[in-house]
Amino acid sequence: MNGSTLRRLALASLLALAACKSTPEEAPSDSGPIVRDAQTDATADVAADATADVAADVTNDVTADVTNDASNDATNDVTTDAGADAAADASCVGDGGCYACPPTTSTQIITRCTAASCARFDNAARLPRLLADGGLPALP
Amino acid sequence: MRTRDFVAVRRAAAAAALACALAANNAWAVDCNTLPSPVYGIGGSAQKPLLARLGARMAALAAPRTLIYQAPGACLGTNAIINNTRLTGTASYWTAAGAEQTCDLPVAGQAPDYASSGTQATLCPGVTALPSGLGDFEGPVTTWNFFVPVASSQQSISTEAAYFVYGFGRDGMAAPWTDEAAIIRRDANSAAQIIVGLETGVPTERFRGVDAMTNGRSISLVAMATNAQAAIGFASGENVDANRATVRTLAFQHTGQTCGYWPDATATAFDKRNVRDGLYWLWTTTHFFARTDSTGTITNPLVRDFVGWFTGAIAPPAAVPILDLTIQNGNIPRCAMRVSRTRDLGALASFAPDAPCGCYFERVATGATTCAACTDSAACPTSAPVCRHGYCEVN
Repeated sequence: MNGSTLRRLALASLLALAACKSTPEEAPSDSGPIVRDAQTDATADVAADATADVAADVTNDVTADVTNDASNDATNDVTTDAGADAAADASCVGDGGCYACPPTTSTQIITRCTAASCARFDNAARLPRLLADGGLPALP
Repeated sequence: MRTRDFVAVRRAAAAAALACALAANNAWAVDCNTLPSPVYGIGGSAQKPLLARLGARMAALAAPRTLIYQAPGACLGTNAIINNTRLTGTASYWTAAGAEQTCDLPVAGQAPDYASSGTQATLCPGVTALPSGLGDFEGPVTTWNFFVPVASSQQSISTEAAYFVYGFGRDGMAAPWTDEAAIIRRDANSAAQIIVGLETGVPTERFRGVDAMTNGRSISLVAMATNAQAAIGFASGENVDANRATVRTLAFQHTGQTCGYWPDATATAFDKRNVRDGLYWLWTTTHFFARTDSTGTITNPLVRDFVGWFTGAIAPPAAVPILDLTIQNGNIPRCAMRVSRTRDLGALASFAPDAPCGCYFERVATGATTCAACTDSAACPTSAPVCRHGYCEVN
């Protein structure tokens, strides 16, 4: 996936974010597969940074793929999924940029709207050696 | 004191010193091959707590079996079983009371019957594929946790931050983790380091920091750090969970996530909810490697039994409650997972186990569950119609 495509996908996500709100739903039964989780106050603090995060995270994916060696398959998977997700259904973007539809891909699973408590690590604010585009420099 | 008495005292002291020296060298440890039905394994230290629980139960069986284990590192174990490298020196085993003991391996060495690892074999140095006749059997899920001293104020870390901490050390400027004496790592044969390397892209042989050698020592080095704010390490979740009095797991924010998640629903819970649901990224399955016949069946019957108990291929005896042992150890049986992946840190997919045990997992791990209790399926609602392990499950 090239940078232009990712920029388009990021833009699509941003537009969707502005247009949509997720609908809180019941937390899933413990005994069934993942269907959908609720967005609650626990993650509401993420919402303020959501717009920037959507773009920055997509950029990070791309840069990480270029910088890291080919063995980092996990990152490759996520990046591939991210593109497919964004293109698939922009209406599934919920508060804070979370994925508000039943997740079917890896990225949708890890970014879905959830009631789980979390602690954000602000890469942009805390990692001064991130490249200007949010990417990672090569190892020394 | 007369000269003759003085000489006698000196001889007695020398004898005592020799005895102490011999004891210190473990010269009086029991021979491993004299223990009841010994089964020899080698691998990572991450699996040792789980094998300890299992070993105690096996030793307590009416026909006792002795689980013997040497833990030099995940990939050293994987390579040993592949190359049939003989175990030498001493190894651990567990009594029925759960006490870890040491036994002497045969002088000529002992071929391993199994190996265990927190990573797939091909991630190990020098391993491109498992040879025919060697099977890979997946056991319970284990998490890999970044952790800090309890006195640290840090709550989370991202993939990118870990890249700077372990790839650059001080020069990564990922405050507060910039003191390489307080950045605790492992080596290239460690499953923990392989997983962190796979996640961050930092080659396993280029990690910055201090090599702790084992999961347990990683925890103790971080816990005892003089500058709590600067200290960080990584280890298997069950080892970290067992030491929550001194170290604390950081929430992990995988690339693409906008927030970091703990393995559990909260920093203090034990429910592994975020692993089971897929929000916590750093987890793998435990791998058991053992020799197999042409049908893929493990040839050693003792190994076949206990690996089968973990995989579900063989029902465990009542005296070996494998689900309880797994859950109480901080691992997750695959029947309690709602996501799956086909390779270490690979893409996640929604997962519905054939015989789920999520309710039972929650009950054992946390002491409570919202699932309906049952004695048979007739008592279960249509929304969760199957009674499994005493609780109504969806299938």
